[in-house]
Amino acid sequence: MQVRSVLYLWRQLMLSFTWRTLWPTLLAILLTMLMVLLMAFVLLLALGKVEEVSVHLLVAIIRPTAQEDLSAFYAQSVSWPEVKQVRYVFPEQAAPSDEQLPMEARQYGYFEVQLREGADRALIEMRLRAQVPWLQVIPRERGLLRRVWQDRPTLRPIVFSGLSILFLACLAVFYIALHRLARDWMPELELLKLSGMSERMLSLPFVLLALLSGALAAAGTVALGSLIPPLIRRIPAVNMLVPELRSAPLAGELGLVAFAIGLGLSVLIGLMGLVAADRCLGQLSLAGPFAPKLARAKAQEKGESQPHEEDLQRLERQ
Amino acid sequence: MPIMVQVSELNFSSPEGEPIFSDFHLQLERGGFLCVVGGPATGKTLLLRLLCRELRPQHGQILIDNCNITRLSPERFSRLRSQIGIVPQDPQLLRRRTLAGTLCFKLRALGLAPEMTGPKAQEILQAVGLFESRDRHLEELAPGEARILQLALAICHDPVLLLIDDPIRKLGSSEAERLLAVLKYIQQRHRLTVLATSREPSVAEVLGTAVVQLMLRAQETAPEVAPEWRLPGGRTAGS
Repeated sequence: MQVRSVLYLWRQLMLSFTWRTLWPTLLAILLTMLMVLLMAFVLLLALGKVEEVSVHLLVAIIRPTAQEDLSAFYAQSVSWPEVKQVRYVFPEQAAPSDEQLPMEARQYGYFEVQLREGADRALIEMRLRAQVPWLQVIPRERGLLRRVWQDRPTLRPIVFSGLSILFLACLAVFYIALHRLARDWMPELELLKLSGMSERMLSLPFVLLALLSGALAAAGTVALGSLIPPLIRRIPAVNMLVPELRSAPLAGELGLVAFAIGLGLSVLIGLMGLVAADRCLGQLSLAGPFAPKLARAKAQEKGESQPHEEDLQRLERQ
Repeated sequence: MPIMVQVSELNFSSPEGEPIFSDFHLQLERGGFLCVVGGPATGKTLLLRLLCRELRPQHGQILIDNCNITRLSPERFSRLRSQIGIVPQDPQLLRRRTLAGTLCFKLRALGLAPEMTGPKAQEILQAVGLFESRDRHLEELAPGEARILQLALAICHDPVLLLIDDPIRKLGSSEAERLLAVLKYIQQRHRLTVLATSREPSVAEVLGTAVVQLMLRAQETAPEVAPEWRLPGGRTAGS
């Protein structure tokens, strides 16, 4: 019975959206999407993945090459002390989703060179480029992302400040949207509260709505996560600031992490729904703290001036 | 007759420590009708807030249907609370809904099956004499009609106790008469226990009910006198 009531109220709540309540809700969802995406990106930058401890370089073969040349290249590169491991990847083993891989490498295969230290990357890259003309060196973005975070400490405060501002803005807009909706619904809330419906029951539809908005934002972030990285590479300013980001797609991982963060955040937004509803419930008829009406009446009886409004507010707060 | 509401040794003071109720007693039988009369800020609304546990007294006990509401668990009180209908002083009007729509909304929200809400709403609107206006929006109602609708909303879930806060406040005499007639009819038809508050002692006279007179302490001649309970003849029935 109670579940039916809550679901009915939730449906009514969804139907009662007006432009006044809809636009802040949509804005809040959009802001949340952006924030979650940024948060996921920062998380990937900050943590990376376990296998990203070592830096990889892809050495793509871009023209037909004799088996002897490939063997000689392998023998030479594996002998360098900075190189931990060299692996030849056959064309049929190449990952189809690897956007960085040139078309030729899918035909002739490529070498995956794993370095011991990320700092040696530039040196090894230079050596490899000087080797033979049939090679194309591609740094793997996972290692680079980790390096971006490590190599550019000045980025951290900027990223964190931006993230904090977005986070607060997102929560504030969400709160405004939910509070507006709850205020619009005050007559309905009052009617049901006067019938004995508990405050918990009355808050639940708002919590459900807030959870749904958070989940929507999380789902939207997945779509945004696959669109944003290619766009980032096209922004000249970003490329100038962090050139390494040119090779930072990570669409799948970014989307997944963003979705997880978004779902977690939706719980927080759900709690905000609870707070917004609770605040409005406290302002209904017969609810709230005892109003100092007595002071007013006594002042009237004695012919005194009305108690100062600030005093009344202070008493109400008490 | 079994007792529906019993208030004993009730004490309540304002946040400033100003006593509003001290050693207040009240008793109302099941199916009875009691009118609490008093000037502004004498504690009429406060009494209703105490009866529906929106506020807790500093001392004393409040029994409703033999349950001490000051000690009931939230779950048990919630069950008891669903048997109490309340009409506040200045209720908020539901916009965008018709009279029948408002009643159906409340009945559905309280868990009534969709196919039962329509006939039930119709029955209640007929009982309070608003059936002809069922498709009108609430903004179009006269103040008296709006108050009658609030009464209909308060009784639509079949409560056993009805608390009404100053029902005729800001109403013209004809509207007030109509409202009181509806209230009396509803009380008799549903065998409701009704506790109404009002600033006007004439309300009790019109309704022919017992009356409790609340007085502001500043107006009292003897300082120890608490709000007292008088029967229509002016005889004090308890204090």
